Amino acid sequence: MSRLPPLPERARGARPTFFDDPAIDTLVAMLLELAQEHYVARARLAALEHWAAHEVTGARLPYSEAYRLPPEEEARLADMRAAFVRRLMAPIEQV
Amino acid sequence: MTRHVAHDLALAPTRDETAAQDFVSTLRAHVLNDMAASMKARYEARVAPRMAPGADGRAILAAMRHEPYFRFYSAVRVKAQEMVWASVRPTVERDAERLAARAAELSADRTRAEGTLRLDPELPIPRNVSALDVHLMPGNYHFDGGDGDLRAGALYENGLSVFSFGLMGESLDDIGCSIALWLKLRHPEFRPADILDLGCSVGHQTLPWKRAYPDARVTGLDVASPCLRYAHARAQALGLTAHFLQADATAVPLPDQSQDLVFSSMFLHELPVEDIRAVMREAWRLLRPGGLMLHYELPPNEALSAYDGFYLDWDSHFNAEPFYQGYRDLVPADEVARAGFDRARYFHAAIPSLGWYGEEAVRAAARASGTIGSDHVGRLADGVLWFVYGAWK
Ligand SMILES: C[S@@+](CC[C@H](N)C(=O)[O-])C[C@H]1O[C@@H](n2cnc3c(N)ncnc32)[C@H](O)[C@@H]1O
Repeated sequence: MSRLPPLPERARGARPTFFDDPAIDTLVAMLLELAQEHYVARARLAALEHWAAHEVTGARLPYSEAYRLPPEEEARLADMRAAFVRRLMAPIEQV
Repeated sequence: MTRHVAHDLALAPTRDETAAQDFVSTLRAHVLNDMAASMKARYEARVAPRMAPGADGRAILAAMRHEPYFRFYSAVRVKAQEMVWASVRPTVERDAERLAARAAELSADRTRAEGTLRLDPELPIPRNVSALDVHLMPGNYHFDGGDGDLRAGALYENGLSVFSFGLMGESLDDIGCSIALWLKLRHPEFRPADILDLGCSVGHQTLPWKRAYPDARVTGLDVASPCLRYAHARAQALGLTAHFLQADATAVPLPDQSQDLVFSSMFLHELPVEDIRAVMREAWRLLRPGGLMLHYELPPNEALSAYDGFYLDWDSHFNAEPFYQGYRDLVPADEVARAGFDRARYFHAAIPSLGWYGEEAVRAAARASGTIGSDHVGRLADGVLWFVYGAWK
């Protein structure tokens, strides 16, 4: 941002920890960052596949549309995302 | 699922940014629906049998702190909260200048609406805002980089979209829409001419009052200038005339008996007790006879089971909401009476979310007596009911 001072990146104050060894809290946070990044890559892949399929069939899309998924594919991606989060969290159900 | 902000102030996230936000919404929905249910089942099976009779929410927290499930639930929820803001902040920063320019155009465009914005650069920011970052929002409501800066408002609105995973409605105004409909149905004779929304933030629950009572003069008040700039531009974008005023709700610069409805939403629990009391005294002063003070809030401890009290107070301990539990320890009817209202004219109600349950359910609630018999009351999860209370002057 040119004119405005940047918004702070982090909220003030220490974050609470919950485990006897706070390293586990840290690892949970790292794992969630990783999971998010994984999903972002999956979503991008879905967009690329959609775009590639159009390329193959020769049905060219305007660039601005190329990476946007039609609603039914967005819905499929949302289901996949929910299933992914459930799998990611499933081990916690065993503790 | 995630409802992305869609009016004229919408940001332009990249596909990756949208995906990152969607992930956080899905994660939060999992934590607040699925994990919350699992945690309660574990509490009942493993912890409740060991609790002393009459144990309160604080005692339950002390016991649950040792439970591995509670630890995972909490660690994930804290991180998800940080990820809410982190997932929208880069887009807000990148779009800030464009947003400010668009806001200026909207403000100048009197064909859309005739709202106003009155800022007070001298206003002291109260410590409950200046000294912390409530619900871990970096910079809090009031971070103001100078003239035209509305980033805190944009961060709040876009963050709230991610945070609430669709439960607050298309325009994040389900609370206001549900309550305004309920009030109109329950009190068709009540036609407020002047309506004031205290602690209005970006005006999500301010504008439903203008929709419900188009002839009323509707004012939103807050201490946070960037939220008010955003609120003003957003109201103009939506074509609704409202007036936004930077002031402290404990000392409102409006005349005695100038309002018919003094409303607030998700506001009182962010104040220390002495300020809550000052706000209620102000409401009494501002209201005309026959006027109504109405608050949307978390339900008080006295209305909940010990477990539900423990569950709601999680935010107070772990989400930078230091006044939340103190607020919920108060008895609303006592506070209303302390402010000068007649205790006999106090009421409370649990209003079904219009977006979740539909209009017929709100109609039924408007006919019913005000009971709070569900753990869905005041809890942001699927099937939420909004808790309101108030008193007539
Ligand atoms: C959770 S937000 C309210 C949200 C909004 N009412 C809604 O329902 O969409 C709380 C707001 O209260 C404001 N606030 C805190 N203390 C205040 C005070 N003493 N006077 C006026 N506003 C205050 C904050 O700046 C913040 O915008």
